[in-house]
Amino acid sequence: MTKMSERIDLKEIERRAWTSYFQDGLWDIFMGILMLTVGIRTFTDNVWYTLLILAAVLVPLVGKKFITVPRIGWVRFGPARIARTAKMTGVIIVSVLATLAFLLLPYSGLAFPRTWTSPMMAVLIAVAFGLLAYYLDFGRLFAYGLLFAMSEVLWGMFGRPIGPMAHTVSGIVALIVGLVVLVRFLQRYPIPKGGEPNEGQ
Amino acid sequence: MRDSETKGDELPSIPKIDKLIHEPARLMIMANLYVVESADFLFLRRQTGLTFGNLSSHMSKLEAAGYIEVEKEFVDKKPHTRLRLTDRGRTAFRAYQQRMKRLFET
Repeated sequence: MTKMSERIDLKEIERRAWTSYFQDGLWDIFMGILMLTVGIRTFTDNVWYTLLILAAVLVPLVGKKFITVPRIGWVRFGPARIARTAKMTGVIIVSVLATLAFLLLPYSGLAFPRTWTSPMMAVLIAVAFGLLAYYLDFGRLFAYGLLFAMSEVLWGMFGRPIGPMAHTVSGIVALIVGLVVLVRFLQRYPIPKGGEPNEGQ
Repeated sequence: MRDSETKGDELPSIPKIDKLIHEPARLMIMANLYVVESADFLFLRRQTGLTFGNLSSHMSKLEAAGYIEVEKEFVDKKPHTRLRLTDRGRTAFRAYQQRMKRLFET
């Protein structure tokens, strides 16, 4: 039995249940591939590398189904957590729209200095990832947001090859963290064997 | 306990504590189900740290009392058990919380 039998803190139990879904490292791997894609894409100028983003999106989607749920089980959270997730979706939508607006602004004919794009993007990234980290209760995401934002600042200040390199290094860092967390998760939570099915009684 | 504390009407409230929920393992099951909408057997095992047999046995008692609803299905040809607190279970858990709180406050 866990130490919670000494004191029942319902908020902590709910938070623990929620964060158990982030012990698998899949979000870290997602962030790693995302930053790596930005780095490689800008390094090589090959637009096809953008397709790696699809791989990044597939990692949490497929991974949760085939890696996480068979090991730690399935849960449907309550209305409070669902409301938080809805706010998170709102942050993602606003961030994507704001990013598109920033990227298109220099071509709009408005008096907008191109040198502003990188710092403004960095602020946007830091704020968006900060909010996501808060709504997801997932602190490492905030650190990745800062790494991503700093890489963007370096890109604005020094251009190539420092900018793409910073993104690539940030991506590799997140990827390594994700893989280490994933390996630990696999060791800690083996799939229940035949004698221990996901059924009671 | 001092004599003065055993007097009065505090003592009769103790038997009102729901003994079914009061058992530590069942209390953990109820608390874990209280904070979510529903969860499967494996998730509860991971969260409570109970063994397969222990969880099964406590689950049966809570189901018999009408506190939890157990739904069995097959997912990818494998048996899958989903649990959720019934309205009765939710009310009982809230009442248990309040009674325990009152018990130590008075």
